[in-house]
Amino acid sequence: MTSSSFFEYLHEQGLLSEVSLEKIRQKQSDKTISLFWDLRLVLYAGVLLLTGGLGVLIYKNIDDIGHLAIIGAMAATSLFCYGFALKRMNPFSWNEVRSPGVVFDYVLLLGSILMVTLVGYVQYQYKIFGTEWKLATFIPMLILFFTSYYFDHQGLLSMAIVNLAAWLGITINEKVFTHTNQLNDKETLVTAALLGAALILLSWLSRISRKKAHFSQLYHQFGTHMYFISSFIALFVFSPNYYPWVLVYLAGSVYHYFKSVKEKSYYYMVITMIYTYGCISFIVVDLVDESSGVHYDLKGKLVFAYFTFSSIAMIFLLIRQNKIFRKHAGVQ
Amino acid sequence: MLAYNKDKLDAWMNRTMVEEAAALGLISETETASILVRYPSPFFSPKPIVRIGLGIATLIAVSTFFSFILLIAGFNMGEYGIQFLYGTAVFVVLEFMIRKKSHFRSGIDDLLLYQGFWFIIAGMYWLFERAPDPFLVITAITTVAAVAATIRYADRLMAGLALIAFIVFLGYLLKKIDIDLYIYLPQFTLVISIACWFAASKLVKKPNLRHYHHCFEFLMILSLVLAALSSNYYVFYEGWYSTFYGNKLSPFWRYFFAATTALVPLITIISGFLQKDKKRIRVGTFMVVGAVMTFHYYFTSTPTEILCIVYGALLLLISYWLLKHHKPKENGISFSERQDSAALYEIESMLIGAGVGMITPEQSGGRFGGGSFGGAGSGGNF
Repeated sequence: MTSSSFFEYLHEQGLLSEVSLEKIRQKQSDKTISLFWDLRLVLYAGVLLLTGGLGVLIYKNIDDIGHLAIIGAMAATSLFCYGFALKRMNPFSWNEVRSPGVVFDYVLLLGSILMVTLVGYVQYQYKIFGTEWKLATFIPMLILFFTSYYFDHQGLLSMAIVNLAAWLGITINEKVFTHTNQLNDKETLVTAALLGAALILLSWLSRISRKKAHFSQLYHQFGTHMYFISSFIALFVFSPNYYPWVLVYLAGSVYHYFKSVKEKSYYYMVITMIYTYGCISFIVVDLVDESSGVHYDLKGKLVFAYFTFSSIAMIFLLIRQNKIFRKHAGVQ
Repeated sequence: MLAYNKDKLDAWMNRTMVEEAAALGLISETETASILVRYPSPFFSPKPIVRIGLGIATLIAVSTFFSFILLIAGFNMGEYGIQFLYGTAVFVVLEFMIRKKSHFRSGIDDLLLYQGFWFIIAGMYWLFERAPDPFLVITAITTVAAVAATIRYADRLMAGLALIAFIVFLGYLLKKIDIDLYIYLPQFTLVISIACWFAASKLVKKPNLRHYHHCFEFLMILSLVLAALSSNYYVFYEGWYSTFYGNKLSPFWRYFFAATTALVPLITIISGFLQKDKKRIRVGTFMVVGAVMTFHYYFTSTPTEILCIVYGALLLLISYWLLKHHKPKENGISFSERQDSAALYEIESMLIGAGVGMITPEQSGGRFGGGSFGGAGSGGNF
């Protein structure tokens, strides 16, 4: 049965209205393809190339170009971008405001990147904040938070959160995942876990206060992963006295489990299970490893047996939870 | 031949169409719910994120159980064809999960297939290790086995593996026949990729092969990527020819690869626009970037940062021009967003945060730190 005949069949069965069938017919006859996300990707690449190239150019020719010329050019471009955004933006509202267009989004992003760079450059060159280096992160962060809310731009909010973390001394980029030694300082780990919890709280506040409620997902994403990753690394760093961190970790697991159940979120269900499995596995391997009087060979067998049977148990749990969610959603 | 029941696959495809129509806002929520209740899923085929979770758990279970068996039995790797036997056992479990438990793209069947396949091929390697040309035999077996697995399980990665394994097999074969023939492997790859693309583009339209549609689609993308790589002068010369044969490339091949570096991307992208084929437009865009970088590598001494600025500005201007002057009705291409793109916005926002990062001076050394690339000089140790 072809797609169109199946929808015709559904219509004959009384499961599909004439209006819906007509919409489907129109969609099937419309051969237009959308390159919306492709264009956004091209714009993103353009902004990255332009700002990256400018940065290296300035770095290499800093003595030839002159500091004031650099500052002037960056400030002028950034102001132009903000001016463009102000002119084109839809009126501010605490509810979601639709972007006027894809160019608006990326011109604003370009302006913001240049603004953040400018502040950093001026501090590096002229020490405008004296030895208060953290102000050079704090001020752009404030501007980014303000602009993300004012222009309703989730990309800027993401940058603002990354700057917030940086202000607190945590670097968030791909290195967090590839070089976890960036997070091996005990104080940094505590800060990261607290920031994760704070972001989750911010997500909740955004939702209940209905002030840009659609930002709540982004806060939660950053919060969840920061909380779990820092707690997981803390298990290693604080070893052998890691038990308080187990409580912290499992508190997060319990919260996320109930969140997934409440919202019927498959995403939070899966990441909660994977992160919790990581924590439990750490404890089991540590207990086996530390157990005295057990032969090395037997320890190996116990660990492999644990991973085999625990992962099978996780499979059953995931399938069971998936079925429960589908049942609640009324889907067979 | 197909492990999955064909009627069930058709029912699953119909359900998928309904879910896609609902995601695009063509069908109301009430209608969607009533259709999905009337036509329940014939398979256990969970959402992608659950599939990933189940896949991770299966990966751990299958691999650690193998290690557990080795420890319990006191075997060494390869002894008694243990991998081959274990791989066969994994396939038995896979068949059970498909036939009795109706798993389809559940993450479990995917990983059982990949791991079972891997164990069998690894077992074969141990068996043929002492053969005169073990790699020739293994790549031939891998090609045949991957084709068989594609036919049986309609898996796109297996289809891709079959193509790559065949090219590697061809390389070993050429080497065995005559070492001078080995030099032509990229040219052979280009021909095979183009042939594969045409074959897959014909087969994808056949209604009786509808259950393999995604395999042909994947083969088309992979063929384009392989064609781009094998026709690129830089990849051919620096990555292949000079490594094996030094600096002796004849003028004919120089001009041939210079021409293919320019023409293959252009043909791909132009034909993509003419025939409204997103795959060709997307792969073609990356091909054009690769071609431009190749020509710059050989013909200009312009500093990288200048190229970044020029191309960055060019990309922004082209995008702006397209948005300003493009009329979707005229050429069938639009830049309007789909209704189901909320999750993509979230991913995009996180990518911006991760990609742009933060650009702030660090106290020690007074250099800009933070982000990895972009953001005006945060790359490297700036």
